[in-house]
Amino acid sequence: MWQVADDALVAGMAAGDPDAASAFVERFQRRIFGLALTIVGEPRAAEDVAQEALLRAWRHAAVFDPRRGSVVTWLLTITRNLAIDALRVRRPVAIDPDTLVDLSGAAPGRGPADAAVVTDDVGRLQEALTTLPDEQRRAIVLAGVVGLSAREISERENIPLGTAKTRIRAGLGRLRLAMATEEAAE
Amino acid sequence: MSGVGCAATRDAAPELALGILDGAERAEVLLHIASCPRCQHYVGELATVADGLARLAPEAEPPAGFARRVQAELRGSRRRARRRWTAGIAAVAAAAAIAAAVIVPAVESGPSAPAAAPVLHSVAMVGGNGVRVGHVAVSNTNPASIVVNVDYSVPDGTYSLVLHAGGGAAHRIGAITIAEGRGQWIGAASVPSRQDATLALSAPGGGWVCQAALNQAQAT
Repeated sequence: MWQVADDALVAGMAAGDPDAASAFVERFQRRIFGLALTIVGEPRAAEDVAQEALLRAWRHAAVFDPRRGSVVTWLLTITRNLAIDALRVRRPVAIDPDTLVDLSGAAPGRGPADAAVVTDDVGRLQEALTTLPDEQRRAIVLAGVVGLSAREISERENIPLGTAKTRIRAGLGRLRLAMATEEAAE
Repeated sequence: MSGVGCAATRDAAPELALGILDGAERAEVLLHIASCPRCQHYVGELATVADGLARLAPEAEPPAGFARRVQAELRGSRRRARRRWTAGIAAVAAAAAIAAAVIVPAVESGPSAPAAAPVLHSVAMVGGNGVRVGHVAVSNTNPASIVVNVDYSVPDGTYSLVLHAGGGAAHRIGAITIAEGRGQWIGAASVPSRQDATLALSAPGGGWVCQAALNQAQAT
């Protein structure tokens, strides 16, 4: 098993190293599949999304720039976009935002290189999310994880469009302040 | 100046950061943040939080054999990619030569150069969440020489290059193909002198993937 940093695995893939590509798949498959399944809600479609996400990561490994974000963020963004595209073809589906994300405080596992930092970030975000009013948390999860627009959220939640926008704005603004405050306190 | 200011941009920033802002509103906000460092910083902070939300999804074990199937697909893709690169070497070399011919004379023309010498402005090509995905070099000649380089975060595919003159006027000046995450387009077009003129990559289904404020360099 590769015990190297996520960035190094991507660099290895970019250089055409098959061992790096295999290790990359092994390392991230559960996270990618988990996110895809969370969004599309069906294992077969989630598998297609997860496979395409890994292929795209491999194809674009050479242009990955660690200064613009972590490997995990990059990979989950690819997965999320693909899952949202797949979901738009399959809608409507039943989505309960309260069950979509893990707010238990037990952060998902990840690569060894930045595990401590990332786990801490995820834990802080989990904690900050639990402090939001229910309606703001639902709006943030529907927008940030499932990729629903403000209009789609307004229809699902049966609220005016302006209210949906306000909940998104207020919710993400609070999360930003919470994360910034904790960073400043460290 | 762009159509929206800092206040409107801040209102729309959370939706932009979450990747759920579409259409003209998204284009207007992207145009503003391309020329406003403070709003760009604000959107960047929100995007950092928004990107983290996907990490909260629980892990799940994929079906048996998933990793093996993906790894087999990667091996097949690597062979296909090698064939594509071999076939494309001549085309890439030719494009690079043309780019050098366009860019070098302009770069060499500094403040002491004759007034008639072309001057090249380089402006950021900005995509979703305010992320810089490439750049556009445009000369001050008429028609202007334009070099578009995309090297980050834009999905593979072919996109229309649409020049917006402001006030709703727009026309397509060509198409750019992104392959393996990179793409380049070289051509010429009349660039309107309006400060809000933009060049955008338009997806086949509509909507902007990324865009550049062409006259930003002249405005600053």
